[in-house]
Amino acid sequence: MISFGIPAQKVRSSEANEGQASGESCRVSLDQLKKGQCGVVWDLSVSENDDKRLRALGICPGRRVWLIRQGNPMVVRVMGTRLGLARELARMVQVDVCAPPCSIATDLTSAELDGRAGV
Amino acid sequence: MTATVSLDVLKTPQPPVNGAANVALVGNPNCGKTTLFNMLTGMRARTANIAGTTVETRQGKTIIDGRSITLIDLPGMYSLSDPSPEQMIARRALLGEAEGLNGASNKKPDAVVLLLDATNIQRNLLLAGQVIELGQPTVVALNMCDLADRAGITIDTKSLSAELGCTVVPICARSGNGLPQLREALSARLASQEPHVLPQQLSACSTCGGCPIRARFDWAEGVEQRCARKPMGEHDPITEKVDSVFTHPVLGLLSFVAIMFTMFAMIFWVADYPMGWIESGFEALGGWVGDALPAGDFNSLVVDGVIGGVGGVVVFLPQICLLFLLLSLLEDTGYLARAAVVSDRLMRRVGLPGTSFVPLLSAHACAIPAIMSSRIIENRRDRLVTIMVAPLLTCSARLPVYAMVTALLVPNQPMKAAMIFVGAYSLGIAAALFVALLLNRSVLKGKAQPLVIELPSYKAPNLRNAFITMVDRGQAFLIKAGTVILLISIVLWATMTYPKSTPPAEAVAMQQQAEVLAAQGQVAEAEALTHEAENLISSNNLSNSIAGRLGQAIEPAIKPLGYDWRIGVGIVSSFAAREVVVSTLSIIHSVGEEDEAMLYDSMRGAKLADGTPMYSTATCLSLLVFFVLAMQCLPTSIVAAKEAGSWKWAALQFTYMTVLAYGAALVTFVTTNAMVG
Repeated sequence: MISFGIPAQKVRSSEANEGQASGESCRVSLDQLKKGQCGVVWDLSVSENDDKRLRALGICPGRRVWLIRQGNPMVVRVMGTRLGLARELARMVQVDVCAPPCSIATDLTSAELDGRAGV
Repeated sequence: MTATVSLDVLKTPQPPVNGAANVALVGNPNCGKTTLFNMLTGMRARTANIAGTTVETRQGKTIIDGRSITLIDLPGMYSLSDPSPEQMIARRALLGEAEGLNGASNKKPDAVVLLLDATNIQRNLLLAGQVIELGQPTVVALNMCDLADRAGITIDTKSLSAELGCTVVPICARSGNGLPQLREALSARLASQEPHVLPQQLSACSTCGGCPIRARFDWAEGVEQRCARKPMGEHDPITEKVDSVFTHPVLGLLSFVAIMFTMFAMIFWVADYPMGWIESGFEALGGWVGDALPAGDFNSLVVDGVIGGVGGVVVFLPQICLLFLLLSLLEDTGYLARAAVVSDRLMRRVGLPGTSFVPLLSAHACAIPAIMSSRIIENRRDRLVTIMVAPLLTCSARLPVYAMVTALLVPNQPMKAAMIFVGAYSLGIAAALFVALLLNRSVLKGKAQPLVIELPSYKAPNLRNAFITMVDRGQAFLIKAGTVILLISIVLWATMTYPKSTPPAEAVAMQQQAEVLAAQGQVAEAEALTHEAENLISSNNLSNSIAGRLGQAIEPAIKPLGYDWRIGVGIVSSFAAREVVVSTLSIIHSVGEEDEAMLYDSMRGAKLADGTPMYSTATCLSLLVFFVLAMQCLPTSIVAAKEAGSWKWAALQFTYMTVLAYGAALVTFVTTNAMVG
């Protein structure tokens, strides 16, 4: 119980997939977002139980998620509310990064995304 | 689905004017549901389980337009498809599938009051859409309009009403603004026989393909765009600033420790006064009843068994009340959710979820309310681990035992005494974490459910809600004390009283001598001698009682720990509540129950059969370790069995704790002896 940064660091170095992060689609797992960055949820691959819990709280395809604080649990903001979220769940959530330079490759139109920017 | 207004739901003595009705209150967690419920029903509410389950709802009565309304506060939920057992049952209650909701009928509520948080309607609309779709007569209360105003959010209630297909009433539950209008709207909805008409867009939502929740969020987003105007960016800069401290990896942990420490300091400091009053109250009552009833077994049963036994447990009521008052205030501010995030970082390592920290914190006052509050933990495995380790944490009943041991070990040395207390608390916490880890690797395999928790915006706490929660929890504890604890007290009283033994010759001689002295006019000496004789007789009675014989029977087993049969009797008697060991040892050392200083003197002078001091340093430490770890509390076992759903778990808990306590006490005794010599 000395430092809480260490396990999180370990997770990052072993799991981070740089190729994917800089790829064309800019699709990364939620835990790879940087502080202040946002992503549109693409897919969740968690147990059925966790899937229901996450979706009910707004971690649902099509929603925008902002990363507020890294760590485990991490803090994200979705639909105007902050959530504490275990890293192991965040790893299983695929998001499309919505900040430049990456262009957003989703099934959403730009008009829809503009509408969401005000959320 | 058509709505019907039932006229025969409640069997009230006089027929109500318009027929009674059941109304369910539904909403997201943290949307002010409890506040609204308390405002509508006042103090007349009671907590009741939904029949056949351990899920609690609060139910209260209110009169609206002459109609008697039973308001049912269902557990907060984010959607009707939430997987937690509590929310599944809430859903069944809403659908009329739960058996005997409100204890009267197997039917759905006559109307639903749906609460929305005006500061974030988009999120709340997920549940709202699902509930409205059920087709029951629904009235929407748009809560926290004051906060929304302050955040610059404006909502067009007319168009929201059209989108949802039901009346929307803006309210502020905290101040009571809009409540008359809400009552009016509810009354009108109950009186109207019109079937519920589902808005087209909403009905399209449930039938569309793909992810139903996704479709609902899209719909919710559309509704918000059409009905609400809100400023850009995060609407709550205060929450942002405060959270940068409270969820910080280092500062968050430090503030967590500071807040918890302050809370416990307050609990122990403030509760000390009412605890003193309760103690003297029970003593006075015991004295008064003892004088009023004729001397004999019945007198002893009432005074020592019933009043003494129940009093010994009820004395912890102030601590329990304060604990729940402060926890409720903390929860209201929004801090508890952050505390769950911070503690999740620590507890996950031993397989406990962050949500188990409230029960484990409560266990430092008393394991009974702690185990009862473990219901908030969604996952069954996580809940079982929490229940299994909760009694290892130092509850208040252990404090008199710690105080006794420190008084024997380091008399008049407050610094050293404080260190022993800290050591005992730390041992309890370390043992709980260690056992959680072991359970994790053995009978309760698996990982703690990963954390997903809403961190609500910080708000000023609501004293009224906290007070009502406190009264509620206090009542639940008193009911336990009035039933389970009373029964155990009587049984233990019997084992400590029967069979009766003849007074020892020494005591009889003393009594005769006292009579002679009294006849000679030496009243003071006579009284002292009588008192001494009485103490001898009680000590003799106790030694020969079932409990005394049990103590002697287990002496061979506890000898390796440094105990003789007298401590054995103390251990047997402490199953009622741990602090009973102190009064039992008082009786056994023939000092009566009044004088602590005398008890410690007498204990220090006590010798073992071989002439060595009975309470050596090694014995004292071993006794301390034993009481930190042992499950010396039958009421807790009974509550644990009930909450875990099986006696198997309570038996396992009792066994592992006893084995652990024995082993640790043995190691302590042997090593201390080796070191001290």
